[in-house]
Amino acid sequence: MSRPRTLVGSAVPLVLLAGLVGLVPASAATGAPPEDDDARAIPLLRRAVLAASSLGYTGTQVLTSWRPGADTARLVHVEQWPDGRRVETLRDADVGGASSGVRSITLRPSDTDLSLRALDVLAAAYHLSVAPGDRVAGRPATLVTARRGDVVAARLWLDDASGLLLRQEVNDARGNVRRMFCFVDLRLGPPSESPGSGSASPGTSVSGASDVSTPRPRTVSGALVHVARVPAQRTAWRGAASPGERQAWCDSVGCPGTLPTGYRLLDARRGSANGSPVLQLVYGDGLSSISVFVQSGRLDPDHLTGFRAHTWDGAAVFVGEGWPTRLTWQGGSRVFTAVSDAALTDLHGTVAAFPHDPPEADGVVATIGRGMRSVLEWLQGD
Amino acid sequence: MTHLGERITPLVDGQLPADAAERASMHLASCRPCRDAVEAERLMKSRLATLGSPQPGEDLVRRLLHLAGPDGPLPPRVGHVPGTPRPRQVSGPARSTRPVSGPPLARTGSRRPAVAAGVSRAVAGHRPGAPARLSRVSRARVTVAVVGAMCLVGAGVAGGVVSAGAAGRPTVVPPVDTLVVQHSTSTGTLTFGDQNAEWETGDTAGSGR
Repeated sequence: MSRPRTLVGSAVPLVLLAGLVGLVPASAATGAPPEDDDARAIPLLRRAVLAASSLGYTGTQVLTSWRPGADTARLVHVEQWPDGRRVETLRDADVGGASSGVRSITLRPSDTDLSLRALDVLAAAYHLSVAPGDRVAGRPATLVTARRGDVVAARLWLDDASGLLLRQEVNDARGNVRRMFCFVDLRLGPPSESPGSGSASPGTSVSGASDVSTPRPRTVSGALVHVARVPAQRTAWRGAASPGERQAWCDSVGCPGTLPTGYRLLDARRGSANGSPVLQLVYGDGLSSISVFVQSGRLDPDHLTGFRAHTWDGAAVFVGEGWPTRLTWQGGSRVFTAVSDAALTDLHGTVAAFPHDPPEADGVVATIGRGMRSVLEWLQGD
Repeated sequence: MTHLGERITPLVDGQLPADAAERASMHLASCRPCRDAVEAERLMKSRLATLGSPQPGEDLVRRLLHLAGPDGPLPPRVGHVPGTPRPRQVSGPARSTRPVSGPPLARTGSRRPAVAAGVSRAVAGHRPGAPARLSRVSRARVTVAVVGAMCLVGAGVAGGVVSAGAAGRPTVVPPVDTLVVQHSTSTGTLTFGDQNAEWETGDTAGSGR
């Protein structure tokens, strides 16, 4: 039976900062950076984070990602209720605008906290500047620009009236737009349909959990429905209660609290998948996020679908297709899986910072060598 | 003619000059101890020849030598000849010098160094006269060493196969779709979905929530 797709989900939080469109002219990516304007920018961004989960609105977003050989564009209808419930209906440009999937989530206070922590990282990692007087979707907006050195890393347009993030561009290291989000229309106020009615109602969405885990039959006559291969089981994830616990969970699996690329540990959650415990470590730099999932055991590459084997700086890494980027690799007795909207260069640094095994050589001698190593480790009580 | 002594090994190896080999053969015809010694040498060489594959790598040899002693690779074993100064290690830490721990070599006085790493030479330590007991000891050592090495290599092969099969640890196939959803819900980031995901007509599919 089909299961709901992992589709959309551009909620708010990290995205707010990690958010969303438009091409940056090459000339805009360079030039003398203005003075740091954190004192003005941070309150605006904080307001945007809170507005994303506390305001009611209806709108249409364009979400685009540019990657070598894998550009992606999505058109998403969004309904947001003031209590945090949110319904996103994908109107995929690839299928002629047909409704191709729907997803609902409910934003939790912890999600907002995560975004606010990401804000702190953003302020620390980038030079921020503020420029009022712009317009997005016909609405007056203020532009916040994040620079790293002379290069524009991201541009964010914030609605002057509501504070909502209207548009976001995230660039690569050379200042070229890597992904973009933009409202093409927006109506403030709670959606006309109450949640629970209509084809796109969120139903009994559980806080923080996508309804993809609790499918309910729904017919979209004449449309294409994008279905996912997500197990139809609810997974409960518990977040670390304090920064100390977050770091302790991270340390327990030998993972770094800070990545060489400037990403910091923002959250840690424990949950399960397919009956096995999973630890999720969320890293962010304020513009992008990386989730690293840790499982005990040995990676079975023969049963990975849609992945290709690569060697990154001496580490054996399997890179999956699709967006966001997903990687998996073996590190000692654990399997690490990263899901991220970050640039590939940042992901290279992530793999290097985590435990990782080198590619396994083939042949009798290599097999004997591996066996001898296992025997010696066993003798040494490892 | 005296016993063959140190000429046994080159005789078995075919390295004696023709005239010396002829004289040695004549001696063997009348000297049982020397015949036994030569036979033992040939037997050991033939057995060692069957152990050819697989060849342990340099790293494996180093690990095996480490296993032989708590302080690292064993130094060459040097027997002490009565009446001569005790042998000393030319270089390296003094604690690595080990005396020969085996039985005294000789009532014949024909002791000579036995190098631990040289199996053939260990066998060659056998001397007609008192050597019957010495030969058994040397062979026992060699046998233990060879069997031990074979066991370790065998364990390595088995371990390699086992590790390749991930026995002892559960195999993991990350539930990527679930993890992507978890990532997007926990970070609020957009999940575009797989490029190669399945598509079905909405008339029958539940997209639901």
